[in-house]
Amino acid sequence: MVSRAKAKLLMVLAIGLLSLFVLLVVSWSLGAVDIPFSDTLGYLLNIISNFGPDMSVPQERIIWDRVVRSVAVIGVGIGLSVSGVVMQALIRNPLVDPYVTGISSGAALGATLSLLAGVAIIPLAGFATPMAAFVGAIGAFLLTMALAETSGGRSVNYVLSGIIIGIAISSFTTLLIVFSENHRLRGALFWLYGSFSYITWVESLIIILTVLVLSLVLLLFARELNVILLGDEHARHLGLNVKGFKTISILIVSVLTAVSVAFCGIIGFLGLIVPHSARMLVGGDHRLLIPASMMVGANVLLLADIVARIALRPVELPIGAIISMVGAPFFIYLMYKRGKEYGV
Amino acid sequence: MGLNRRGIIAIGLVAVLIVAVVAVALTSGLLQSGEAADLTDAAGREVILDAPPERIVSCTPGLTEMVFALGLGDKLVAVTDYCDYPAEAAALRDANKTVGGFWEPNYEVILSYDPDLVLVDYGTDAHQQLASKLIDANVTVLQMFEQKDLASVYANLRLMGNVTGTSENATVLANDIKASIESVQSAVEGLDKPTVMYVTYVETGFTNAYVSGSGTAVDELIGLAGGKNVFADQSGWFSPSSELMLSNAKSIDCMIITSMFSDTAAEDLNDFFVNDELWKQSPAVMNNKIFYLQGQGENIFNRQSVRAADAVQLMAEMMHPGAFEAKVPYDPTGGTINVIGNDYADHLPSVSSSVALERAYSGPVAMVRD
Repeated sequence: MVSRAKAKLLMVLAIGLLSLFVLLVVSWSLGAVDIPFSDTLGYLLNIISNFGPDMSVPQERIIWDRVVRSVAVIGVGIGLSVSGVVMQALIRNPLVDPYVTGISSGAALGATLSLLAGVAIIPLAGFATPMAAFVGAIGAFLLTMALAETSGGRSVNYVLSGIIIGIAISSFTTLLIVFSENHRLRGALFWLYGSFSYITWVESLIIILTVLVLSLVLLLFARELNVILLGDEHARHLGLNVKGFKTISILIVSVLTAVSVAFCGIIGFLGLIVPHSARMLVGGDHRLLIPASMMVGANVLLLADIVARIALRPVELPIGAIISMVGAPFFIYLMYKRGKEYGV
Repeated sequence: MGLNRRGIIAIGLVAVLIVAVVAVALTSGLLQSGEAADLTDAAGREVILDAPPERIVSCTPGLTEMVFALGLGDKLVAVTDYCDYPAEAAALRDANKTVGGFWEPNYEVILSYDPDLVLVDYGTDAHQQLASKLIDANVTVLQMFEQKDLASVYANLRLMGNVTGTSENATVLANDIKASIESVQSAVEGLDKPTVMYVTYVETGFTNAYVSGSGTAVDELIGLAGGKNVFADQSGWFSPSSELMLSNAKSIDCMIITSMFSDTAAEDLNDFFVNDELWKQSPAVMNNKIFYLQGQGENIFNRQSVRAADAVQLMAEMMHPGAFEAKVPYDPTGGTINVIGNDYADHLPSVSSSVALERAYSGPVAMVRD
C-alpha cells in the first residue's frame, strides 16, 4: 500500500517536473513582448554562461526579468500550498487555507499599513513591509484562535472565526485605502489583488529561499502532522507536545504567508485547491502530501501567471482574481461532493 | 529519526535561512549617499550620464513636456498613452511608441526600447518599484520629484537639466516661468480676491464632484492668481457632500470645471446651473463666471510642468479680467458658455511661456488632439 502511494508520488514529481520545465520555457518566452522559443533557450544559455544577462541586449534583460519573476511565482505557489496542507492538518478540516483562516488578510493589513505609511521609500525598510505582513498574519491568527477557542475550539469554530476575522480585517484595510492620498491608493489596490509585476531579484531570492527551507522543515515533521490528524488527545498520548508543535507550525505558516503576501499581494484559494488535488493523487500521508503539494502548487501558480500576463496583453490581470475564478467553482464542487464527510 | 534530532536539524536550517536572508538583504544595492546635490534625484541617488542621452523614455505626460521644453524632444523614443503635448509627443503616442498608462508603465516594453535614460515619477509607488527593477537591470533611471506644486517644477527642471547636460536651457526656462508668475502676481496685487471653486471631475447634474481643497497644486495656483479657494478649510482633493456643496454655493464667485469627457458636458452642466433653484443664485452662475476647461486647456492644470505659468495666467484672467490685456472667453450676459480648450494659448499674452515653447518646437503650432 505504502509503496504504491510512494510510486504515485514519484510519478507526480516526475511529471510535475517535466510540466514545470515546459511552463517555465513558455513563461520566459511569452508576455507583453514575445520571444520565439528557440531564441529563449539560446539567450538563457548566454545568461547562464556569462553569470548574468548582457544588459545591452534587450531580450536578455527581459528574459532575466521573467526568470526572476518565475522564481517568485514558484516560491509563492509552493509556500501557499504547503501552508494550506499544514493548516488543514492542524485544524483537522480540509476546507481551510491561509486565506480562509484570516492569515492572508492580516498579512495584507500589515503590508498595507507599511505601504501607505510610505516606509518602503527607505532602503532595507523595504523589508519593513514583509515584516509588517508577518506581524499582521500572526495577529490575525491569534484573533482567529481566540475567537475559535472561546466558542468551542472545534475545527468548525476555527473555520467560521477565520472567515469572520478575515472579513473584518479586510474591511479595515479597505477603509485605510479609502482614507489614503490618491496616488498611494492606486498602487496599494493593484498590489492587493495579487501581482508579480514589480518583483525584484532580491525579493525573489528571499521568497524562494524562505519557502524551500521552511517547506523542508515542515516535511521533516510530516509524521507529526499525520499524528495531529488523529486528534489532540491521541497525539498527546503518543508523546507529542501538541501545543508547542501547533504553535511552531502556525508561526511557520505565518511566515510563509507573510512572505507571499508582502511581495505579491493576496492570492486566495491556492492553499485550498492544491492540497486537495494532491490528496487525490497521493493520499493523505503528509510525507507524500507535502512534496506532491509543492510540485502541484508550483505548476498551478506558474500556469496562472502565464495566463495573467498573456490573456489581455499588454495589460496584466491580477493573478489572485484568476486563481479565485478557478478556485471558487472547485471549492463548490468539493463541498458538494465531499461536504458530508467533513465532520465538525 | 528521533524528534529531537529532527528538531535540531530544523533549527539549524532556519538559522541558515536567517543568515542567508540577512546577507541577501544587506548586499542588495543600498542607496548611494547623495553627494553632488545637483545630480541627486528624488530617491537620493546620484545619476550620472557619460554622455548626453540619445534614447529617452518618459513615463508621465508632465515629464514628456519637460523633455521637449529642454530641447531633448528628438531624443525621446517612447512616451505614455496620455502624452499629447507638444504635437511631436502626440505623434509618438499615435505611432504606438508608448510604454503604457501613467499608473502601470510596462517594464518589458520599456526595456524593448533599449533606453539610456528612463524618467519616472518618484511620487507614484508603481514608478518606484519599476525604478528598482530598472536599476537592477542596469538601466539609468531618473526618479523625478513628485509633481505636486511649483517648487517641484523648478526642482525637476534643475534636475533634468543637470543630468542631461541642458542646465542652461533649464535655468532660462525656470526663470521664464518665475517671471511670468511674478508679473501675474503684481497685476492682481491689491485686488479683491474672488472665491473660487475648482472642480476636477463631475458627473451629470453636477453630482460626484471632486474638488480642490487646500494644499493641492491647483490651490497654490489659485493663490498666485489672486483668488481664494472656497474649500480652503478642507485639505487635498475630496468629494464634498451635497450639503457642503449647496451651503457654499452662494459664496462662489468663480467656478473652474475640468475633465469634460463629452462634447455636450459643458452645455448640460450649464443648463443645470441656470435652472437649479439654489445654484442660480450663486454669483458665479449669475455672472456666468463659469469656465469649462477641455483638452490642453485642462492639461496645463493637471500637469505640474513647464506650462504652469500659463495655468496661473489663465486663472488670473478668469478672476480679474480687467487686470490683463489678454482675455479668456467670457460672456457676462450668459449667452455663451465659456470654454477654454486646445486654443488656450490664444488667450495668453504673446510672450507667454507656452507660445515661446511652441516656437522652440519644430513643426507648426499644432491643433493637438485631445
